[in-house]
Formats: sequence, structure tokens, C-alpha cells
Amino acid sequence: MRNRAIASLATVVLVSVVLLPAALAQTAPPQESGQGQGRGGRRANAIPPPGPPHDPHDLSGTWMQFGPGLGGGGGGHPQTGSEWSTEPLPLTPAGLAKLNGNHPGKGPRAGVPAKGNDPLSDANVPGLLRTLVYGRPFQFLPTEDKIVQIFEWFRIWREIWTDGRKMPEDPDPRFYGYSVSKWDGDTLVVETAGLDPRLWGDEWGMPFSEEMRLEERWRRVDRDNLQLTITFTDPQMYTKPWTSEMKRFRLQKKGMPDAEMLEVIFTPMDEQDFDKNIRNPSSLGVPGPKSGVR
Amino acid sequence: MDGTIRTKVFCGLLVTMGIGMASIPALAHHGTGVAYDTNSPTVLTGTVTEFKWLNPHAQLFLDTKDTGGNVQHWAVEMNSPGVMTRQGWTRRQFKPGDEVTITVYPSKAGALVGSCIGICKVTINGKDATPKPAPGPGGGEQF
Repeated sequence: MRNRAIASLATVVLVSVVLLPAALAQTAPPQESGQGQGRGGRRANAIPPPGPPHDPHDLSGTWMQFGPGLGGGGGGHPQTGSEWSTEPLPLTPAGLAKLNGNHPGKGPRAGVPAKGNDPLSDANVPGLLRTLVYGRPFQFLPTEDKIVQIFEWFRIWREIWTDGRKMPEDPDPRFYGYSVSKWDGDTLVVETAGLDPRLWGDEWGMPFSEEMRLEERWRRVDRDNLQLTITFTDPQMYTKPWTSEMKRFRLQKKGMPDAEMLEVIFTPMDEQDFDKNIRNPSSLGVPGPKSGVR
Repeated sequence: MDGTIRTKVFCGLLVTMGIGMASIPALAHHGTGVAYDTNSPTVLTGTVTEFKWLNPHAQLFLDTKDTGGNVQHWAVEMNSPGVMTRQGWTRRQFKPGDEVTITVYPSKAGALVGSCIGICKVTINGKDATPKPAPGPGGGEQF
């Protein structure tokens, strides 16, 4: 009797431990928790449920990334990996050299932040690629001749032209690039060029050159779910064009915590304060203005 | 297998699973920065001297006492104000003089600096103030 009771209990625990998380992973809203978990958590690649009727050519709304591919932790990722792909990057020798010159504080090549050279640590803007891969809300605002994409992170925007114009011959480098678009069925195909190669393509130090061209493919699969894949073409850095894994975004409806975008701006004065009090002491073991050492 | 052995096996299974369940959150604690020792959660008890509600991450300063009664000045890295707002915290979450107990991951390098990001386990003046998970990726940690 006692053994049967224990067996039953063990079965319940087994089901709870093994099956329940898997079930929850398929159905849970895109949330994670955990101290220090950061963006390294990898969640279920849930198939979006069928949503209410929608216009697939209308991307308007506030969106938040969920699902797998959110980097930050790096366990098991290749040294030549990216937050954009689970596959090793097809780097040219120049690409590998540039990657190795980028010293991130996150990902499989992470070092202590105070000894890194992440442009963001000096409060530089993250730029387009890093913003798109980073999981903070953004909004599409369609207008007559363009779609404006506004981002919470750094409270910044970019324009995606929809008026049929061609990509300029030699676009100036910009942190957020120059983007033109057209519809391919229900997929908005955005061509982006003119990205400033001083920035990184992700938090792990993914390199790109001024030759980088993106083909972004945005598809609203139902009212609540949006998908993005990007094909990267950059002969200087990569031996062949390569395509990202699919990034998934969920509509943030009114009342949801991320539906209202906040002001998230990193300024030099705040970064310097953080470096002085936190980043440098924690990384280097030196006393801070308001902390000691053990 | 007699009943006693079966009982031991099942108990062992339960213990193993318990450990496995308990370790799930720990395994996820890898993204906030290599500067901190995530294997050594440390409970600090002390008095708040200052709270900075700034990007990229909020900063909490508190004075604790070591076993000899000497005051130690600690700095705690917390989440970004945007994420903390979505967790229900405010810029007035801590005020100087508050008595807090907070679990941090200490600096590997030996500085009296720790991190408490995501689910930051904390009591303020004896009341549990641990926030709810932030919506979005990773409980919302931002660089």
C-alpha cells in the first residue's frame, strides 16, 4: 500500500517534471523569470495559434519578441555563433579577424565587461541589427509612403519606404541603414543597406562591413503573431549569403505590460556613473566610490 | 525487488527529481554577466544608503556589517528601470534608512558588488518585496 502510494507520487512528479514543462512551453505566454537569467533563456518555439481575422499587409501594432534564438548566455553556442543563428557564421578570414577583435560581455566569447570593447558600453546606439535581435518592444506605424518602425530601445526610429523607390546606388552609412520595401504575397520584403560597420550585429560581436545588405522578410501570420527572417549578404565578412533563424514577435495588446513603450535611453552620463560604481569594480575587483573589496 | 528496495528507489527518484526541479532556475542563470559568481548566492542584510534609478541598470547601495561588526559598503546592480517598472517597482522602491535583506551574486573579482537581476529576492523593512517576473525575453534583463 505504502509502496503503491509512493509509486503514484513518483508518477505524478515524473509527469510534472518531464511533461508539464513541455506542455507549458507550448502554451505559456512569452515570459521568463529568474535572477540573472538575462536574455540567454531559450524558450519553446511555439507554433502560433490561429488568430482572429487580420489584414496581412497591415503590420501596425506594438510587437515583442519571444521564442528561441534569444542570445546572451551562450552555453553550447559555437565560438563563431550569433544571436541571429544557431549555426556557425560562414566567416571569411577578414570576418573572423573582425569577430575576434570584438570583445563582448555576453555570449560564448564573453569576457568581463570592463575589459571589453562593446560600443554600447560607451552609450553608442545599438543600431538596426542589434535592436532587431534584442527583445524589447517596437511598433510599426504605416503611413502613405513609408512604414515607420519605432523602437523602445534608445527611443529611436527608422523608415521603411513603401513608395516604390529604389535603393540608392551608394547609400551613406547610417546606424539604422536605408530601407526600401515591396510586398511578396503577404510578406513585406525590406531591402536594407548603408549600415555603419562600426557597430555590432548582435550582442556577441557579430561583424559586418559597409557592404552588408539585408533582405528582411516580415510576415504577419495572424493578428497576434509576426515573423522575421533576414538574409545577410556581405562578401567582405561572409563567404556566402546566410539566413537567420526565424524570429517571432507577439502583438502587445492594450493593457499588456509591453504595449506601452517606455523611455530606455542610455546616455554617457549614466553609463559613466554605472561604470564607476558597478561595471568596473565588479569586473576588476577594485573598490568603487561607494563600495569596498573583500 | 522487495518493498524496501522499491521504496528506496522511488525515494531516490523523488530526491533526484527534486534536485532537478530546483536546478532549473539555476541553469538559467547565465546571462547577466560574467563578472558575477552565480554559484554563490549571498544574502546581504543592511541599511540602504542610496538607490539610483538609472540606465543601463539601477544601483542600490547599502551598508552591512561583517562578523567583526565592521561596516561594509556594498553596491548592487539591479535591472533597468524600464524592466523594473514592468515588474511593478518604482524609483521610490528603496529609500535611505530602509533595512533590507537581498540575495545577490557577488563579484568574482572580490569587489563588494553583487547583482540582483530578474527575480530579485529582497525584503524591505521586513516585508517581502521580491518583484514578479518581467514580461518579455529573459525576465527582461537589459545590457
